[in-house]
Amino acid sequence: MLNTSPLIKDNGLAFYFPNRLKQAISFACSNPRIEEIRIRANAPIQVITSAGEYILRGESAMQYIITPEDCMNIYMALCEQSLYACEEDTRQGFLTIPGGYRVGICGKVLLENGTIKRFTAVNALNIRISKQCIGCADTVMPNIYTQHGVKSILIISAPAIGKTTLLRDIARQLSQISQNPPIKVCIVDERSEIAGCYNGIPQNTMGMRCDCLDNCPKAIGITMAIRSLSPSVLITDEIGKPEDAKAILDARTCGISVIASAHAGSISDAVKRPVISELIRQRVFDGIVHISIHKSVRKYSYFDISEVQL
Amino acid sequence: MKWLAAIVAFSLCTLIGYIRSSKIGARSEVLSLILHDLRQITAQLEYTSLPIGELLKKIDLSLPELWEKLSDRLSQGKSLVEAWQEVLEERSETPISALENDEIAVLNNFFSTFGTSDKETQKQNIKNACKQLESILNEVDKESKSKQKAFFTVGVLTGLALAILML
Repeated sequence: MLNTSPLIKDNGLAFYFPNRLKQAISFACSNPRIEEIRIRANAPIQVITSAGEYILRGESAMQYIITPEDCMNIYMALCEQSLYACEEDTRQGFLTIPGGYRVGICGKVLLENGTIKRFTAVNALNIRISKQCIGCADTVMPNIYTQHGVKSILIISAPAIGKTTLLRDIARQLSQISQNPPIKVCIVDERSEIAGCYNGIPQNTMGMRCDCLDNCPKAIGITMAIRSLSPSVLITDEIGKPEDAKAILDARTCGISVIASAHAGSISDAVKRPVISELIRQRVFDGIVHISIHKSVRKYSYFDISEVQL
Repeated sequence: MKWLAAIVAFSLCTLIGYIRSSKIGARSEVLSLILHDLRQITAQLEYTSLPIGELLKKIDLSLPELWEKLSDRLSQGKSLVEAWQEVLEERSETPISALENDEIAVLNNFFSTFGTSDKETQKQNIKNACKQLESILNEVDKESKSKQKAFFTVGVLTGLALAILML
């Protein structure tokens, strides 16, 4: 079941757009297959759905051309007229807005001491429509939750195939399991994507035994969670840095199951990544779930770690 | 009849004098409250990174009618400049009706840049606006001490003179 957020149902995304675009954006958002809305200065609005892309058009098939001012105004509206409130997020190149939607930012960057301070001009925005797909983890749950407990799993796929959506549903399903001792799920959500937190509150249904460390770097968040939240399962996404691997290894040696995702087109691609390869070599994960997509249908394949060749 | 007209003239002049003197007092009072609120906003910015609309809703400010209006306009999707201009246009309904051009220019300038920079610059901008408002407040205070009394006295005396002439 695909659950579109209440914000989209109310055409709330149109709130951030200039008046002349509100109706068209509301219409685009009413498409249940919508995945992204891409805004670029001096270009028409591109809408990406699971069935392909189309250009947003108004009356008499006229394209809506976005001006640089439109781009800046939409950006300011997304920041709720307060750039200082989004400093940390924008430094990483994205914003999270109510509903858990992630907005990628592109434009001129201002550097200070070699790090990004902020964007001085925004010329493109990529609004990724967050969807909670309730039940999408049903096929992999028997491989994750067994009579021996919760297994540690690495989820891999190419970008935008559904790793985060799968992680979200795994977290939701695990946190709803009633057993003794209870399964305490902790999400370390560096980019506010899994739980879609807005002001620290998850915008997605995450279940009753789920804690979420929002906007927290993975390595720090995992250590914090181990110290203070006593999780039985840690969930995090897009691992890839050596410090992430170290923190995951720490969690595993503390007896905590870890379910994480990483970008990789296939298992053979995954083992080419030094950090992932090291985690597989050390048997940190019990299995790997590979997501592939064919004709808009997702396939979840489970591989036991013993089947993986380094 | 003459007596009645004299009483009316006296009361009217006294009332005008009183209104004029209290308007000077109100300007200084509202300026102090705005300064207090801006300092409260700076203090909150130190600890939270809430957007301006939410910040104004969450903190206890001295001019709630003004800030609630501004926050409502922002929640309608208006930019800060648009929201502030609308609040200014309807200022007769709020305490800022007592403000005059000097302080309104400072506030206009402040709201035209608020939210467009990082937290540190933001705090600096509030400090600068507060400094400018403080200097206006000092002048208004000096002025009001002498003028408040003068306006009231002039009102009473003019009323008295008119009443005497009428009789």
